Amino acid sequence: MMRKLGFVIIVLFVLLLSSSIILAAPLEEITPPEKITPPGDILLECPNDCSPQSNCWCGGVKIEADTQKYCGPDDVVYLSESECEFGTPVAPPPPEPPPPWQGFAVLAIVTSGVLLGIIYMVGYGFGVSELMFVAKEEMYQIIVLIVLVALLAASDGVFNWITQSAELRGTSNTMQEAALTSIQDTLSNVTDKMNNIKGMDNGIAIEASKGLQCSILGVGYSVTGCGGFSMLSTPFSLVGSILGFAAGELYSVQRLIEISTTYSMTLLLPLGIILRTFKITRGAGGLLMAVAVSTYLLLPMGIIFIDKFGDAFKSNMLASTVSPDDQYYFNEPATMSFSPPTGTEAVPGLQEWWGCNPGDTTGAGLFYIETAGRGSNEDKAINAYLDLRKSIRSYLFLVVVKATLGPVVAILMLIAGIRALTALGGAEIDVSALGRLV
Amino acid sequence: MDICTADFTTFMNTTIMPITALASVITAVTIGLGYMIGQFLGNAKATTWAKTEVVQIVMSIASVTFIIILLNSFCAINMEGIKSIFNINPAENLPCGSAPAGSTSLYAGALDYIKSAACFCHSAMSVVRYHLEAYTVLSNLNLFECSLSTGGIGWGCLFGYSGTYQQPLGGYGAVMSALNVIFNSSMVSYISSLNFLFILLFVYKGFVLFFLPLGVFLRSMPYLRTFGSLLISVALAFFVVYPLLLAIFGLMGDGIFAVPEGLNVSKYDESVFESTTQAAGIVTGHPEFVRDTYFDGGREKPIEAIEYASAALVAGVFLPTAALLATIASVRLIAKILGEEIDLSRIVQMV
Repeated sequence: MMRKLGFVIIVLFVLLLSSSIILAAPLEEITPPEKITPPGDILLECPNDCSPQSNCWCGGVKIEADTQKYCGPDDVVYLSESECEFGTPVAPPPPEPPPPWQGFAVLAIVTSGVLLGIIYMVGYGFGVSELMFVAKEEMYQIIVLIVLVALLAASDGVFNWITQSAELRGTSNTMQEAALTSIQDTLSNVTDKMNNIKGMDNGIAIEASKGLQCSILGVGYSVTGCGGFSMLSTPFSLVGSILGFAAGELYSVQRLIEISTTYSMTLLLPLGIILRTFKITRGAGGLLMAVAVSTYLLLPMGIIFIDKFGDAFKSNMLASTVSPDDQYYFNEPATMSFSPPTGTEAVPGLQEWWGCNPGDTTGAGLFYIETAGRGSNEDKAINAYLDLRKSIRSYLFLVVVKATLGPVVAILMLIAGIRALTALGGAEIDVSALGRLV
Repeated sequence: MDICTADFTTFMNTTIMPITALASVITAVTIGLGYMIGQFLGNAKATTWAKTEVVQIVMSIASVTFIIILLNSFCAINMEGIKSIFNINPAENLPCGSAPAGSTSLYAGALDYIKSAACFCHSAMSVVRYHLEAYTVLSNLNLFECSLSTGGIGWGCLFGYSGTYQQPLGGYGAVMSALNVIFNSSMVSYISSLNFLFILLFVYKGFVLFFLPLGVFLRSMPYLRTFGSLLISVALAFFVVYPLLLAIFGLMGDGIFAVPEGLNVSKYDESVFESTTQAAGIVTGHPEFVRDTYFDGGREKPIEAIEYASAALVAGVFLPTAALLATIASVRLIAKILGEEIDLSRIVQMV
C-alpha cells in the first residue's frame, strides 16, 4: 500500500512540475523604451523615419510607420507638446504579441496528460484496473496527437514558406494572407463587372420601356418601337444571378478564412485537442481539430491552387498564336452608353440623338447608341445583342474559373479534409451536408 | 424552466432522478427475477443473461450519473473566463448586441451563439429584402410625358392622351437576380438557425432527460439493448456535445458576426413611405425622389448586402450544421461505448 501511495505522490509531483514549467515558461517580452521628455515643444530633427522594425512610442501609443513621425537616436518619438502629453512620463504598455499556437497546443496536451494521469492514479490507488486501462489507452491517443501537432507545425511552416516565395505569392507573409489577397482581387473584379452589368441592364431597360401613344377622343394607337431591347433583359438577369452566386461564394470563403486565421490555431485546435482526449467528446474534439486544420490550411490552399492554375492558363492562352480569338477571353467586356459624351450636353439636338426612338418603326432612324451603331431601332437592338454576345467570353475566365471554380474546389477540399481528419481523429463525421455552402 | 436554474435543479431532483432510480430498481428486480427463475429451472441461459445485465445496469447508471455531473459542470463553467484564457476580446458592434451580462455558463453561451446567429441572419435577410423592394419599386415606376410640350404643358393631352411613356429609372433585372439568389440563401440561413435554436431549446427544457430512465430500463431488456443505448447516447450527446460546440463557436462571435464594412444595418428599416405626404412626393417631385427615398445617405449597397448574407450563411448554416453533425457522430460513438453500434447514416442525410 505504501508503495502505491509513494508512486501516486511521485506521479502527481512530476505532472505538477511539468505543467508548472509549461505554464511558467516566459513569453517573449518586448520592453518598451522609456519616455524621454523633449525640451519644450520643439520638434527635434531626427535621423530615422518610423518603421515597423523600430520601436517608436508616444504617451503609451505606438506610432505606426504610415504616420511619418520622426524617431530619435534611441528610437523614441519626439513630438511637440500639443501632439503628445509630455507632462508625466508614461511607460507605454508592451504590445501583445500574438500567442503562438504551438504553445497553446502543448499546454492543451499537458492538461490532457495531467487529467489522464489523475485517472490512472485513482485507478492505481483504488486498484481499479479498468480505470488504469482507460488511462493507458487514452495516453496512446495523446501520443497520436503529439505526432499530429508536430506534423501540423512542420506543414504550416512549409506551406508558409511556399507561399512566401516570390513565384507564388509575391509579398504575402502567409498562405492565408495570400488566399485573402487572391479572393479580394477576384471579388474586386467580380463586383466591377457586376456594377458594369447593372449599369448596362439599367440603361437597356430604359430603352426597352420606351413607347409612344397617340389618341384623340378615345381613338388612337400606341407603338413600342424599342421592344427589340427587351430581349436583353433575360440574359442580363441570368448573368446577374451567376455573378451573385459567385460573389456570395467568394464572400463566404473569405469569411471562413478570416475566422480561421484568427481562431483556428489559438482556440479551435487546442480546445479540440483537449476534447479529443476523452471518448465522450472525441467527436466534438475531432471536429474542432479538423475544422481548424482544414480551414487554416486546405481552404486557402484550394484558393491559391486555382489562382495559380488560372494564371498559368491565362499566360499560356495569351502566348498561344493558334487562334487570336482566344484573346477575347481576357479582354475587357464591352460597355454601352445611352447618354451623350460629357461636354456635349449643350449641343442642340444632340441629346435626342442618343437612345431609342419609340416611334421609329421604319428602319431608318438617325439615333445612335455607342457600340450598337446607327440604324433602325431593330438594328441597334440586334447590334447591342451581338456586342454583348461577344462580351460573354470576357466574363468566362473571371466568373467560371476564378470566382466559381476556385471557391468550389476550396470548399470541396475543406469538406474532404474535415471528413478525413475526423476519421484520423478517431470519430469519422459525415460532413457532406456542409456542401450546402457550394 | 430554463437550464441551470433552481427550477431545473428541482425538476432534476424531483422528477428525472427518482424516475431513473425507479427504472433502475425495476430493472434490477427484473434481472433478479430472471436470475432466480434461471436458478429454479436450472436454465444456464437465463442465469448468464442476468449476470451480464448486472454489469450493464451499472454502466447505465454510471452514464446517467456522468450526464448529471457534466450538466452541473457546464452550468458552473464561466465562458468569460475561457475568453480571457484564450485572450479573446468581447464581441462588439454586433447587429444584435453582444451576449447579455450574466449569461456566462456554457449552456448560456451556446444559446447566445445560436440566438445571435438567428438575429444576424434575419438582419442580413432584411438588408437584402430592402434592396429587392427598392429595385422592384424603382423598376416599376412609369412616366408618361405628353407630347407637344410648351413650358411644362403638354398640349398632346389636351384633347386626348398622346405622348411617350417609359420607365424613367430603368430596370434592375441583373442585380435583382443576384439579390434573389442571395435572398434565398439568407432565408435558408435564417430558417436553419431557427431550427438549430429550436433543437437547443428542446434540449434545454429537459425533455431529452426523460430518455435516461427509459434507456436504463430498455438497455437491460432482451432485444432492446440498441434502442436503450441510443436513448442514453442521444441524451448524453445533445446535453454535452451540441451545446459545447455551439458555445465554442460563440467565443468566436467577434469574427463570425462582423457586419461588412460600410453597411449601417440600422438604416434599413422596414417602412419607407411612412405617410401619404411622402408618397405624394412621387407625384409632385421628380422620379429621382423615389430613388432618393430608398437610397439616400449611401444606402444603395447591393454588394455589401451580398457579403452580409454570405456571412450569415457561415454563421447560421455552416457552423451549426457542423455542430449537429458532430453531435450525431457522438451519438454513434457513445452508443458504441455502451455496447451497441448504431448506423445513423440515414439520419445524417436529413441534416
